[in-house]
Amino acid sequence: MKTKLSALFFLTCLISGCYREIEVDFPERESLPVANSIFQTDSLISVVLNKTQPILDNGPTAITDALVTLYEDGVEKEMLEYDDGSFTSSEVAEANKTYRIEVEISNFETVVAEEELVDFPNVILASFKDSVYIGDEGDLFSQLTLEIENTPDRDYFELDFRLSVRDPKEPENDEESFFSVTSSEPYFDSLLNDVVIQNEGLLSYIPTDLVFSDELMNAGKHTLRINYRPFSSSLYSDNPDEEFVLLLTLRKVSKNYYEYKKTLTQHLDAQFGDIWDGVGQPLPVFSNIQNGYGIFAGYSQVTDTIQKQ
Amino acid sequence: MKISQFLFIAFFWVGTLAIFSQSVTLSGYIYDNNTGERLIGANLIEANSKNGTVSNNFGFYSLQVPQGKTSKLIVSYLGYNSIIEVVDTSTDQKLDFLMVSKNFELDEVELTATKEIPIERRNEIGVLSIPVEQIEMLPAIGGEVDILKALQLMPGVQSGDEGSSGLYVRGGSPDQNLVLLDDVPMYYVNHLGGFVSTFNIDAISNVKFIKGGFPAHYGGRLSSVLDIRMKDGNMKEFEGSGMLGMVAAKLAIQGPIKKDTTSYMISARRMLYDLLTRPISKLAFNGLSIGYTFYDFNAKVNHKFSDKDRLFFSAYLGNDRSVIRKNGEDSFKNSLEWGNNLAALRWNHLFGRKLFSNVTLSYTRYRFATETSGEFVNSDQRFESSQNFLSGIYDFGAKADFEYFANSWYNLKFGANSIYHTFEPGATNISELTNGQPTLNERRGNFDVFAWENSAYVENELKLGKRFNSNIGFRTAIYHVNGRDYISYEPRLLGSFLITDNTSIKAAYSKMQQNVHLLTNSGVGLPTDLWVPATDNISPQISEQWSAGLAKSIRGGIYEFSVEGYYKTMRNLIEYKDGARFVGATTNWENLVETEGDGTSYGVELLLQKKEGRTTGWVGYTWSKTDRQFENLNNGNPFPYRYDRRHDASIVVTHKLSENVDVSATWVYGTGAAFTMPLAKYDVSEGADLPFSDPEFPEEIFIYGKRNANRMRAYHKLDLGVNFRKKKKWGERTLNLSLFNAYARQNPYFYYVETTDIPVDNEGNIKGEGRTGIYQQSLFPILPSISYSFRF
Repeated sequence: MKTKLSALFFLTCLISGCYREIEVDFPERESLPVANSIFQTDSLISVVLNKTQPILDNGPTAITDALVTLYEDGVEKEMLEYDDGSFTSSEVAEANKTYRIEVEISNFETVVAEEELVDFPNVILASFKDSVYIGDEGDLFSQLTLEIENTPDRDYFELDFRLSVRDPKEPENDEESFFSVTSSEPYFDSLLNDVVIQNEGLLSYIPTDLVFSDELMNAGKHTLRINYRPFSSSLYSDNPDEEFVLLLTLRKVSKNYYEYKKTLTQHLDAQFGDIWDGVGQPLPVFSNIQNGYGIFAGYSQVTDTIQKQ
Repeated sequence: MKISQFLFIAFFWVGTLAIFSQSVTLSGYIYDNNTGERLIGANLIEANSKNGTVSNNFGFYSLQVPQGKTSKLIVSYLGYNSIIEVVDTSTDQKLDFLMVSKNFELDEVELTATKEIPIERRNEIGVLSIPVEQIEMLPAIGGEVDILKALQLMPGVQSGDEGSSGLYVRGGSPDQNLVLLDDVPMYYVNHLGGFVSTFNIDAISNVKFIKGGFPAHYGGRLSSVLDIRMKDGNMKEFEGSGMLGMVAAKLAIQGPIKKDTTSYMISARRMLYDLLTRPISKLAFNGLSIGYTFYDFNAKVNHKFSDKDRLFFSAYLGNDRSVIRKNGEDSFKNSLEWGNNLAALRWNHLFGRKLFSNVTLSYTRYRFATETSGEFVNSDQRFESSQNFLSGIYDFGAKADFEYFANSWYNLKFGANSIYHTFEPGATNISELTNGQPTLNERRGNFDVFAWENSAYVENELKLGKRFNSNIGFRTAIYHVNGRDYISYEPRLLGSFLITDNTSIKAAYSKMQQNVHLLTNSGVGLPTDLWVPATDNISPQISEQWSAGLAKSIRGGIYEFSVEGYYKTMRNLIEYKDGARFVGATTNWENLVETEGDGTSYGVELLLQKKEGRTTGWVGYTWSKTDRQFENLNNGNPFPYRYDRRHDASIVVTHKLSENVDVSATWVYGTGAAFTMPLAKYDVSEGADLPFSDPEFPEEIFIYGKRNANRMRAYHKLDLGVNFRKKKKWGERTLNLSLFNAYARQNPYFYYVETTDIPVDNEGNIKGEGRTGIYQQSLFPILPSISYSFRF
């Protein structure tokens, strides 16, 4: 809807619009450390350290000489080793444990962050229907149905999936063949989707993965219906032998992760004004890093593959 | 008893006591001699006593003069030849006056009076009146002259973003403007995303704009009143006009159904581009029809039953519509539609010679709707689906207004108004069928809200001696919603004192309450902006405004000068929470907004107008400051309002080169818009799995400074226009040439940060880094336009 209106105005601007670089005086702003780490159960914890820099600068910002201490459930576990751009643990993270990092960098206050790694999600793929209805752009939408176990606690999730066409001539176990021919991220219907998804208010940002909470899920088991189509129409072919493949990843994520992804999506969208908003109001990105910026958050994920001719 | 309640009773008693006195009453209507159209705001002065009055919104006047044998009465109106007539003042008289427009070649009548009441003697402050004839002479974007764009050139009125018709009055937002068309409120007043307003100048007879010192008979909005009157229709003879411009084409006709008794006026305007885009797109996109258009339609019928009774029926229909459609196999349709419908039935009745009444029944509807539907066959099964989103407001209203012209020093106005609102804050109906059998049928979104608004007012226009004028009024309203009542007490005080024969000082206080809010993510007035009601959880908006100023006529009223200062506070404002959007969300809208916001606005406005002669126009300047404060925005600290402009100036000149050619120019200047500057940045975390991200070049997160603490470059532009008029056997034709932004100023629309591509050599090796800069996007560098219009 907004896309079409934008197209109309964009046409006007094409005729007459213009842009130019301008000089702006920026006030001095103190640089602060940035710690970024998104980790998952059964994988190593890796922390990338940087510094913030003035908006117009593009110099290197990496911090390599810090002391990074990792705590597990309040007990010091190890000092992370720097290698190839990040400080990495020697042991994998485990679900239901709380991890904390303390980062000492010269000339900065100690940076601290903490995260409780959530457990794996309970999910059952219920069904997949091709071409269920016509969307507002006249494209056919398909529907994926998941059953998610909803516990009494407030849980947060992320669904990530890719759509591919598998060439049947390729060896069946060769995962590369799934994606070597044609592959696409999904486009989610921004007007008609599951209330749980739509309620997040992120669909108009055209996300390729979905973060959502169980705020509006039914108690017990919730059936989640997701309406989507491939971004690329070239994914469809006339070859009846080809297999349509969905590679699904469902993550149970922490609240920190959920807040970060949600505000990040909105923040990146607001970085650029548009015909409608002009100067959009920016939204700060969530951070759980004390004395700095960035994110220290984790998830546990399950994956599945669906094939359909 | 509260002070405000005491004042209400006191004011009413003042009015009642002042009704009795000794004099004769001259009363009647003032008409245009050629069309029979009643003239609003015509000036009448009795020469001996200097008692004067002004015709009301229906052209009626009632003037008390001392009893005697005869007296000289002077009737004047801008653009018309004055009338000087000796009248019998021994008894009450009913006198109608027919005024002759200067456009018609008749013998010149002696001009001894000014054409309107001089500014220093008008019992008002913060009131702007631009004659429709002057608006028609101004430069026109795309050939379309626009009332709202003309008002944007006045001090105290900001235009918002470039090209928009939005009105930001004394720090208020566009929803805080009470826009009345023939006494009925309109909600959304834009076509084409704000590029054109919904008001077709061919259907308009009078425009009055109030930004402070609000009389008590107006209520329901915080920042301004735009009172627009449609033409009644020519009572004497058939006439018409039309125009073909680059934005739209229009045609208006009017004439008598029964001469001097019943008349009609019909006006229609339509954007025509879709008539081209539909067939072309069908050819270019394999049967896909794409079109966008807007239209509006004004109609009015008025019937004179007798000298004491008159009935008016007014209607307005306006819509913007965008449709994408494909017929045949796998058909679908996507449409987007928004607009107002409005109807008013008004009855004027005169009780004796002093009490004028107007009763209005009205209906107004604003609606924004989208429809997506389609059908297709898959695996021998037929699927049909439809999604319909609807948001809107439906108002049924009834009101009665009375004006009692008691004597030469006292007029009383009183009345009551009742509006029943139905708000649809947005809901989607979804249905799906497979082989004709329903598989899904549900409604998502917000439930309708019903509200009942009742108000009553009393206004006392009181003259004390020859130098002091006042308007002491009071308005009270009860707004009932979801089982809760909000009661408002709104004192309205206005006083003016003539310190010399051509200079006065004025001061006013107004308290206003507004029971609707507008939720918007944009700055241009989109149909997706959502009108929502005050509810049991969200309070009505309230403002208080103090204003004071000096008004002066120069050279016998040829020039008028005014300076006004104001201080306005606003409470219970709402705004979307950071990052919240309504479209697509299904939660109750009340969860998406910040509430209990405060606003403060103050400033000084200067206006120097030249009102007569071959060259007319004005110079306006505003110094102002306006901010907002919400608990959860900007760390709870006040921040500049998005359209806060420290300096705002405009120069408007129209000049008649000859009988057939007139030229016009407008120049505007404004301090740059407020925006929030990104000051620093850092990389997005690896593993954040961003849409379209390239792991080699991670996205960057910006760290912003304080909200709206920075300013873009200043805004200024010059518009030029010329009208070539030519008399024809059948009437008159006018060719208009306009140039928007004549010196191609690149005004900032928004700023953004961009980094150039990383340089690589011929072998693909990275050589250095991208360069980051701040860029400015502009909209319209220069736009010429032409239009052809005619009258017959």
